[in-house]
Amino acid sequence: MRLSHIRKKGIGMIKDLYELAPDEQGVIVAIEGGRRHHLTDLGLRVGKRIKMVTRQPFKGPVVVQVDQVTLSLGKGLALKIKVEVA
Amino acid sequence: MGHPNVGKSVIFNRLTGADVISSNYPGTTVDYKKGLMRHKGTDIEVIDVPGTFSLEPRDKAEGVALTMLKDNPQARIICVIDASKLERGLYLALDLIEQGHPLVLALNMWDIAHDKNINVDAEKLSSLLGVPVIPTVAVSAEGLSLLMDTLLDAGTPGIAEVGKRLRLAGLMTSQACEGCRGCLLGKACGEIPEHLTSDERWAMVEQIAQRTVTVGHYRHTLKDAIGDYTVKPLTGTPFAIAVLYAFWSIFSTFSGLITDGFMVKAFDLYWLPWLQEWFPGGPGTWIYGVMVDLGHVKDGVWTASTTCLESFGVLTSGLYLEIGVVLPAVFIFYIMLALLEDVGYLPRLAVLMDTFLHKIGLHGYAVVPTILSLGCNVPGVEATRILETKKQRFVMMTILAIFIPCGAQIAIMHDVIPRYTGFVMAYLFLGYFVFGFLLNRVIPGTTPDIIMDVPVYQRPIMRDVRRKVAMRTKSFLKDAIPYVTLGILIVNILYSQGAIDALAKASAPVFEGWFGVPRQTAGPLLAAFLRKDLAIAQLSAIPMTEYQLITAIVLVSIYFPCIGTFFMMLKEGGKAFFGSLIVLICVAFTWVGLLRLVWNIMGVQ
Repeated sequence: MRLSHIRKKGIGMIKDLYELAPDEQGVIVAIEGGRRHHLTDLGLRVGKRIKMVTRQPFKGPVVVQVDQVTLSLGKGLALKIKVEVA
Repeated sequence: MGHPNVGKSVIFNRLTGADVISSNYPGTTVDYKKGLMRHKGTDIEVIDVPGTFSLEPRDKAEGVALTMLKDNPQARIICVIDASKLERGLYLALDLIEQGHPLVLALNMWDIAHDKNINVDAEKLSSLLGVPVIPTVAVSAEGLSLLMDTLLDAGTPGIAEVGKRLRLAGLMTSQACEGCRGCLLGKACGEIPEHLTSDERWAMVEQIAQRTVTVGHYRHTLKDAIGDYTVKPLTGTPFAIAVLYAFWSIFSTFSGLITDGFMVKAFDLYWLPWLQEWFPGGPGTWIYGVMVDLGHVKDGVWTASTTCLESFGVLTSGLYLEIGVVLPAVFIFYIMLALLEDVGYLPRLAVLMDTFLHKIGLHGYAVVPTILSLGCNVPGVEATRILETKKQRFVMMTILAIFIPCGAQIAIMHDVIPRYTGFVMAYLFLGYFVFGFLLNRVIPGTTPDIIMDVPVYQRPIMRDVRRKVAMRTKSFLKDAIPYVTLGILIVNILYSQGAIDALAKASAPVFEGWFGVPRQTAGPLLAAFLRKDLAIAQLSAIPMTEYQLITAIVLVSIYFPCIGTFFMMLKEGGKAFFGSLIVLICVAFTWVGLLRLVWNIMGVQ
């Protein structure tokens, strides 16, 4: 599903994963960029519920939880993951 | 095979009785290791490989695993899955099944999954996949004998068979399996294509997981809370500083206590006088000089040494250095390193450090090779395999070899210049960042964003910690004793032939002119190629001022990697190694020269 498409359908608010506040949750609606398969290999894929644990300062990485698994992702990747917040 | 940090090496150790290092962070294993497992009277060869997320390598360590797989297509595979992360593990397992490898599935960390209230129906999973599925807890060896028994029945059903089984189980209806081409095309599942796309495979994983996994309510435990707080910047940063400081102070207190409180006395008051009395030949003969005591000339008279450090014999200085000073230090270092590794703290430190490390062309994961290098540079350099790009590996390897002193070196420094060890370390770490920053600017290439699992904290298993410490200590002794002996022999012989004096004279302009240290520094620098700890001890015997000694020690630290690191860099870096050497020469002249400039400006000698 294309992002623009999702926006038109108007289902909840779409944010970049990077924008989530600590402890905020959402559902992944799209993963952009070339390293998509690296993320899916770790179980990070469209339709999964994701929770922000913390964001490091100074453009640092984020720490998130998917399926009770804790992962750390660089800022660039976190900007490419689009999340729908209920 | 399996993902990183699911317990492959632990299973390997338990099956074969081998000693492979295992830790609680992804990327511990970077090379394969073979071992034999005795089962029902036959020997079966078992191979431990680095973890891999998929069958497409993303770094050199994964490449090792996949090459091994390609070279042994008929090998039976124990696919190890973290039972609490079933879905992504199944994805890899399905890929392996699709490639036609016969496999057994080990659902490891069964206890952790249980703690998290995740229940997997192993029997059903086995019937759906058509391969044996064994729940295991590798650290306590649960389920491993069953794993051994079933290994020989390992089947290779093929992906179409899995599809058929799913249909039989009423799972793969044309609605349920959205992505599966077989159903979409209106074909029977027997006609499911041999190769699935990634989306199709995930659809299959989801179908299987839905039927076999039940997730109960999960309560946030204290362990999780600590896990979160130690990775959040506000609480995690002070914690990281506390951990590193504790590491350093335990290290220096403990090693100082053993060395100064016990070893110095034992060696200087008993061992040295005993040897001086009993060693055949006595003072003056060359063998006595080389093995026991070179002595020194005071007021024109040959005088015997009173401490092991200044005697410079193989049996005195050599043994004193390695057993009296370095052994207690690396021993305590290895214990703390093992605890830090097994608890699972390193990945969290990596997250906290990621931002800074990006500035020097690396990412958070560089924490792992750096900390390993503080023990010994050789495994540190080898661990650069887990970095994704050539640029990262080059930068990491270069600044590791130049700026990170190994545990043996730190121990001797602590013995020779106790008051200034902290300063030398700080100056070296500063260099690590300064030159990392410069290299990042100069070297072409990219540094990808970090993607890393942050493992759950674990209580370290004492048996594994003991084993790991024993192994590393043994390998330290195995390397250190022969090289130190060789180093002392060579240097003593060169001294007696006047070769070192000639070298010192020839290189005097560089040492005295540029670095501001005595020309005799040339001798220890020769020895530094064999062992840097030996070189620092030799420096302490040369008459010079405190500040000159600091400069000379920094020079030894930066200067040429020791022989073990040299060959590991050559193996891992190939041609890039010569680039590292050029950087090294530039750094030695600028960074050590700068230190001399600082002394000059401060007006000290």
